[in-house]
Amino acid sequence: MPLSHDTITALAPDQASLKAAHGQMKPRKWLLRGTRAADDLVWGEVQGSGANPYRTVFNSADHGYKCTCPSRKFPCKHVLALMWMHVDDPGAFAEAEIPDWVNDWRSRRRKTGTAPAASGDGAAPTTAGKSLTAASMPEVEKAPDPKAAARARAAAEKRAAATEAALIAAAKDLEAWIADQLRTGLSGLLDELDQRCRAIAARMVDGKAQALGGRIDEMPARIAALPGEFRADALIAELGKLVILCRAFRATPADPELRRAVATAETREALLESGDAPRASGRWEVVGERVTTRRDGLVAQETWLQSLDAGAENPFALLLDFFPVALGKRGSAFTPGEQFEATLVFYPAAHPLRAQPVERRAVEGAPLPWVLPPVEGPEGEMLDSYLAAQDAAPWSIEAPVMLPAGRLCQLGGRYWWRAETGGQALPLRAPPPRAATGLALECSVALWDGERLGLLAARSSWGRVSFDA
Amino acid sequence: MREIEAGIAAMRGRWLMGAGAFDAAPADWRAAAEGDGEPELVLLALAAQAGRTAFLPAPDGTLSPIESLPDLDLPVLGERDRAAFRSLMALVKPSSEDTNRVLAMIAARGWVVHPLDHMPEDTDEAIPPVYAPWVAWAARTAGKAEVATEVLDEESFDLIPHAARRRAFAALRTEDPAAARGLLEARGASLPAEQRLALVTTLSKGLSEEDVPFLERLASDRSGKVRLMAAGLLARLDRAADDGALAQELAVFHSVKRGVLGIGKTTVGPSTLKTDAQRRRREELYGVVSLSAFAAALSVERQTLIEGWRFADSRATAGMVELILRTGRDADVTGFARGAIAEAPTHLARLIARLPFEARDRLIPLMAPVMHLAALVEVVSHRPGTLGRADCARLAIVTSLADRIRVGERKGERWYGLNSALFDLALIADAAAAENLIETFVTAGLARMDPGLAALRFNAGLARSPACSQTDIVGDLR
Repeated sequence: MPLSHDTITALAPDQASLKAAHGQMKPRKWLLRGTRAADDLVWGEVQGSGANPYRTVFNSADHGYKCTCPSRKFPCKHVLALMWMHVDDPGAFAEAEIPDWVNDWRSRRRKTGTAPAASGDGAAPTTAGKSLTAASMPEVEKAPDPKAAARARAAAEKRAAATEAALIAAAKDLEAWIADQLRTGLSGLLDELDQRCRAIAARMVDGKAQALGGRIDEMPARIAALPGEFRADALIAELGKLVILCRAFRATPADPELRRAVATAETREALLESGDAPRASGRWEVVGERVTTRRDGLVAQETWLQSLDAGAENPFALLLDFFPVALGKRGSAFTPGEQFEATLVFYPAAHPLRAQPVERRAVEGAPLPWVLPPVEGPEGEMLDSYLAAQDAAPWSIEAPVMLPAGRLCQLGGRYWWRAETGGQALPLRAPPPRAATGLALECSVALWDGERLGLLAARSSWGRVSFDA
Repeated sequence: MREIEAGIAAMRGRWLMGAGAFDAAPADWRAAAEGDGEPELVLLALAAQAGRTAFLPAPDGTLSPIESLPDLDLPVLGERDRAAFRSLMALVKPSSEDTNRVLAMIAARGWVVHPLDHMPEDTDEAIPPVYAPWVAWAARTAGKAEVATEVLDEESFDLIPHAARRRAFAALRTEDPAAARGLLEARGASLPAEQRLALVTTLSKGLSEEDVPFLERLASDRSGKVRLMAAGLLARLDRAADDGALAQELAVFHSVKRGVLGIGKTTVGPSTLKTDAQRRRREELYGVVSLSAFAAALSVERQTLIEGWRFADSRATAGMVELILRTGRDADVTGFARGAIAEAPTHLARLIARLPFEARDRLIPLMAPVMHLAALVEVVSHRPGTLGRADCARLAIVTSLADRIRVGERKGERWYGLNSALFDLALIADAAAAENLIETFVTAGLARMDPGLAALRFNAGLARSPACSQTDIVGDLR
């Protein structure tokens, strides 16, 4: 059955979904739209609230669909919007090669009939109570009420002041807790790190300092990943940096970077509207991805990008998303090694790193080479970008660095990266893939935390290598 | 810097115990912390930042780069095929045995996989020989003994693990039969019986009169299995040392039906026996009598026995297969296999597997249509991914699978063995045949992107490397 407005109306779970879908039909929201008519496939990437766009695909013949968004409605507003746009203007969808993720969906799905899927009670979906026309109608805006607006503004200011006070109190609370740990002995804290961190993290969350709580909650895992003899130093480093963060925040609670590190990040909309947020356009390569399941029930999905433009002001960018563990494994819209043209907007910071993509364009032709670090100069320079990040934000834990030519070495049970020239050596956080140990690494991108190196990617004698940081 | 380092160490000791660290801090730090309400917190922050920015971890020994991964003799798959290989591995999740079969098919097309897509273990002895340098590298970098797989001689004989030694011995036997025999004669006695048996079995390649003295000496080997194998090899050279009485006893359990006046074919077959004891005895005798002695006891030509065998009794046929495999020449095996195509196809795989590759290749088109798929995969393992479109189209399994897919489509069910069979087909078909098979199964009802077709899609998309000819890479993979 060909896709039509009636079919879309019938597929929609309710009128609210159609209304929401209408809101998603702005072309600028869609980073990519493609079709393969011979295979009845239509797909797109739509920017949601996170850094990773949602991937949406449907089959125009049997109306099967898939979207990576976390919506509990099926189909979600993104699928409905994509269908709607395709019915309205199929010419806006470029005929293209089927991307791997679409092929992957095709290979995993079971065939269904050509009729729209039946609802849970077995009855065929109907258009009853749903209308595309109604969904397209603009909201009737109420006449502005100056008194109500003033009341709302006053309430918001009151809430903001209360939040700031709560955050400052939380920071003070954390400092007092750390001082207590010093007084009672860090060896005792190491023995009960999990329980004690859990308790103080919960207090931080209660005090509206969610980011601080999350960081403390993950601290035991970071420390436990180290060999025993390094844990005391790591604990001191973690606690000391928390002290720095608390003191800095208490000194300038309005600073957006500190606020982000203590409470929550700005919304995407707020970021895009911010005049302070730096933007960078150019060619980027996905150098790595790190997915961490956190103890608070969230999955942190980090996508690390490297600029391929010589002299870029921001050579690296981090796209960071969180989603609930309950949603299961979620594919990233970015593939390690992939290059694309994009405009990124960076969260305001002294040393901007975290960003959101504003627009993204696929690139054709041969991939660009990396912008290699200078061959000349002392080896110490390779960690300059880390030191600069530490100067700007001494509370931060790690920063991306680009390393010159090097080799991997093994000493005892530990692996090291060592500069080709034989001087500087940095210990790896995790054993590399066995095959990678035999490669000559022409240059590498890694995360350095002052103590351990997490390799993300390298250019090698055998081509590009991806690591698990 | 040393003062700071020492200060941090002292402060760490105190903090661990719960004591104040102010006195142990460097003087500058004390000055910075003095005015603060919580000087210990200031010192903690300074220690943290200094530890993460002012010092670098130092190895407690000399770092030596890990040895470079050696290049292999074949080119690495291109980026597109690498992605397809990774996707196949992720979708199929094959066992290590199946992975090695995929690698063999890739090698037969003249490619190797990228080390980061698949790296063999140092214990992976079943991987295609082209990967031997990586296996050796893995062993060396894992700190295991250097394995000199390049040259097998008296000096390296004990240094090489058994499976690798067996492969190297087979290669030596192919290149220089006398040298292989001499090596086995010199060093074989020190091996355990099973390993000795494996090497003696390898002598069947290039078996000649020159092997007779050595094989005769093995008649006194301490292992019964080795003695039996040596006797079998001698029998293939018509040097059977059979006890004629045993051959006569076996002949009693069979009957010969001769053509009359030259009309009709002379046939030999097992007699109907009355007791289990008789049947067991007959099976024992198949295991010790040679083909030539058996034919003589029946008073028929060897060829008559082979070509005129009656396949009515499956247990007797199985015994006859054992007898032929043990003591028959290649021509005997080939002749019996031709007869078994229609009558006893379950024995084809074992029969063909004993033949040299050239003889196998002549038989495969005849036998493939009736062979079980797993058996076919086994016998073409020396040239995976090369069965042509016409040969594949004649396979009974193809028709059977297409029927199962059609029925499954109607019932909305999927046969549990479908994916495995499609995977096996992908490992024997050449690229054109794989493309044709995909069309066949899509026409039958599978979706073109069905996961079961993943291996066939990979095969169909994998071009032959221009850098390598078939003869360069064919080898016994087992």
